[in-house]
Amino acid sequence: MTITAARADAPAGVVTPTVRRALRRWLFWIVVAVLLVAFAAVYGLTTRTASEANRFDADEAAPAGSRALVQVLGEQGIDVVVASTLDEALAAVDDPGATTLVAADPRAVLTAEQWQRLDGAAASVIVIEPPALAVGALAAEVAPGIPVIDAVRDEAGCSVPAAQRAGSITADGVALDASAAAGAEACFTGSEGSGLVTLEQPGGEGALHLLGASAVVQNGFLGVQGNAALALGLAGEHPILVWYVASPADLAGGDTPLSELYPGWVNPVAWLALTVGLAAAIWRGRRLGPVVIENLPVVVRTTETMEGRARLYATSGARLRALDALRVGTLRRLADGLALGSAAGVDDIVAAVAGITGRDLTGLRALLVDREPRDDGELVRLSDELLELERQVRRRVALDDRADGASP
Amino acid sequence: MAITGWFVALVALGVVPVVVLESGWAYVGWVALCLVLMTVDAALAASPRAAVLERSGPDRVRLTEQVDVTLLVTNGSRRRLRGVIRDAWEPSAGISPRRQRLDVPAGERRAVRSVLRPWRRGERRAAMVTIRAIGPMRLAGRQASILVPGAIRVLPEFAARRHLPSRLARLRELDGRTSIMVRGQGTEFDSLREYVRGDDVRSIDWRATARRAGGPGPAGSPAPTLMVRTWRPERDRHVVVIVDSGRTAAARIADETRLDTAFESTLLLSALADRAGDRVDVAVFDRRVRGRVQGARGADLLAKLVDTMAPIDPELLETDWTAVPALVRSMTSQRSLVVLCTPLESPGSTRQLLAMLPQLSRKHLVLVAAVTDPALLSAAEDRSDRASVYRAAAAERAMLDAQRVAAAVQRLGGDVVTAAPLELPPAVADRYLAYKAAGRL
Repeated sequence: MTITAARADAPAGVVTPTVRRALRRWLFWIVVAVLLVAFAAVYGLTTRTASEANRFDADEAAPAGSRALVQVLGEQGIDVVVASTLDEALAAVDDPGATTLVAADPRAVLTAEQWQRLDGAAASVIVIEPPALAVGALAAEVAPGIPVIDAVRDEAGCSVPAAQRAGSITADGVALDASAAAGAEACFTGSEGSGLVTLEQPGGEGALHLLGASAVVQNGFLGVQGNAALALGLAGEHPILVWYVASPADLAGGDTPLSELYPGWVNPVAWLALTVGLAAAIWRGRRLGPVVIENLPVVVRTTETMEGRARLYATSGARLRALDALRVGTLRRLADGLALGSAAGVDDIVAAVAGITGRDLTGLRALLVDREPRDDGELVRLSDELLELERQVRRRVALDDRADGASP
Repeated sequence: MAITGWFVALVALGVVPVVVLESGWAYVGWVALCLVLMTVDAALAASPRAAVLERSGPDRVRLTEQVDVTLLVTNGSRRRLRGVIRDAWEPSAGISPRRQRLDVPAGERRAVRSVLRPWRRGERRAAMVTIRAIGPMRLAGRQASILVPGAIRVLPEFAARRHLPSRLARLRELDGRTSIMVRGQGTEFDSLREYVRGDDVRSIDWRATARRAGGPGPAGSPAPTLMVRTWRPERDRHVVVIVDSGRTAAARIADETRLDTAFESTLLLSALADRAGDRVDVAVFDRRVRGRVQGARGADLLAKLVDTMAPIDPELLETDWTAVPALVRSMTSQRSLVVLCTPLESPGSTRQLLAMLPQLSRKHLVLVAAVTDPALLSAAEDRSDRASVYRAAAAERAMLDAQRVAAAVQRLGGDVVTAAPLELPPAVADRYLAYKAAGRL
């Protein structure tokens, strides 16, 4: 017998869409995805976010960078050299007498020894936001700074010409305490400390400017107050400017990049492993046709009401009620076992049981009717006694039956 | 589109050129080569859409039995169709194997055989057939799912049929065909036949014996042939079975819903009553008649019954018992045995049944066949700790409720059979035989 004979050559029978139909169906989402990716790429290229790592960078256009200052100095005829390692910076100084060296270390990669090499490197050395190591190496008497934000200093309060010209500045950055240093000029001093400390370089000719108020060289603050005046005045003092921001390449022993430590095929093989994993996922993940659904009938467990009632008894401590239920069951089975019939009352059953077991009538009545359990332990004991009574009666009845069967 | 494990292996093989050339371009080139090979291979595979599929196989199977189904695949394309095929049935149809290899040369036809072992009653459907055709390089393939409708009706198991021979033997004993020839209530005269040794002397019909001998003969003439009367139980009675398929029938006891137990009981009773010469009418009812078999006899009866019962699942509705008397009236006008297959649980859920019962019991003999739960008995006996004592108390309470309902049914003129799921069908059959023997039908 044949169930059905279906010919599948009609296109209506095929559930799986053709490649073209699938593409058309997904066209909207493909377009949306492509647009999203394009938008993200364009957005990422145009607005580089100001990350902390690129602070003071000569090519960084974000508010935390210093591109504006360097560009302005270049337009003013200053010869600007940008260096990213200490060796590079020192090598760029051809004529120390006519050079300003600006050094910043936002990633805190330089060691005290490296800072010491800046001593006497140029006629004017400016350290932007000097870390504790730099202060300790170059100006031991100056106490390293504490961070300052949202601070404006209205008066230079010192004899440094550039500071006097600037007037008021944004002092965000770190504040330095130069009170213990002899011969140091502390400018823009507030309650936290000074924004600029100028002193002689310890081991040579030339001035050392510790510029704690780092905001004055950043793009975001260059246009406000006298920031530009101070920054241009300090950095444009000499015809040559070496702008040095320390990079990870300054790390001790960082000469060999990580990529030279392992063979060249490791990266491509990692990519290949990723591709193999992807291919394997597609291979195992492609199922052979859709899942077939089936409506299953509802399944109800019969004991649910019983379990619920048992928990109700237990939580509300209905011991007497529970025991009575057990007693009724026992009485019914006893009555059946003793063939007393359904009309037998409790007293008849108790009397009959006492007769067959020889137990005390009052004790039996207490067990089967009267006694009230005070706690759960007593309930369990009573229930065990009921079971024991049932067993005893069953045994006696069986013995009697055998005796009856044997006697005639 | 689908790729194979060989394609994954091919991609992994790219580690050789990448390591030898030590270059990222080797990686890019290898992946591009793999993609090209994959596309070419998929394009060279035979189109699964061009396959012509036909099903054949039986349309009925009894639960727990297995049946072979065949799928004929004709390759309509000009390439060799090689790959994997999956015949997707509903999970409970129990098809095996789930997927099979397929290799059909161009323009030829092959049979794909599988076995169905359904584990659920009802109408089981085949949703679709999925073919994945693999290309000649075995790297990639094309896949399509094709709707090929098919269905098989899974009939109730009727496991209770093993009780049938013993009950039929008892029926024959009741019947005049054996030598028990005691006249009782509810028996009717069947025939006269010659006495054979072993017959009860009380059944000798002296008047017929005299007639046969042609009057009192002379003494010493050969002994006249003694005639005995045989009796047989009354026939052509009417048995009406109402199976409750409402909310309470959905409960599952010992791996079988109450409805399935009711079906088993109905099938055994029907088979027995039909052999006994009675008419059997069955209706499955909750708030409407879900299935009805009337006026069928013999082999036709059982076939119709299982066919009607197969797709019926319990509904989560309260059974409307007030409509049952009218239903019974529409099925029979004479006095009948009305069997109600429904659980007797708590007084609350059986109030409607109890209210309706006098209307039926006034005219008919009413038997309520109820399944009891063996879990209740075992729970009542377990008193090992505090929680189980409370559970035992709840179980005793539930059994007491059921007994009260049964007593109420008996007071209202009905009769009650309760038993565990496996024992209920023979218990109902035995009660029917008892009625038959006592002539209460």
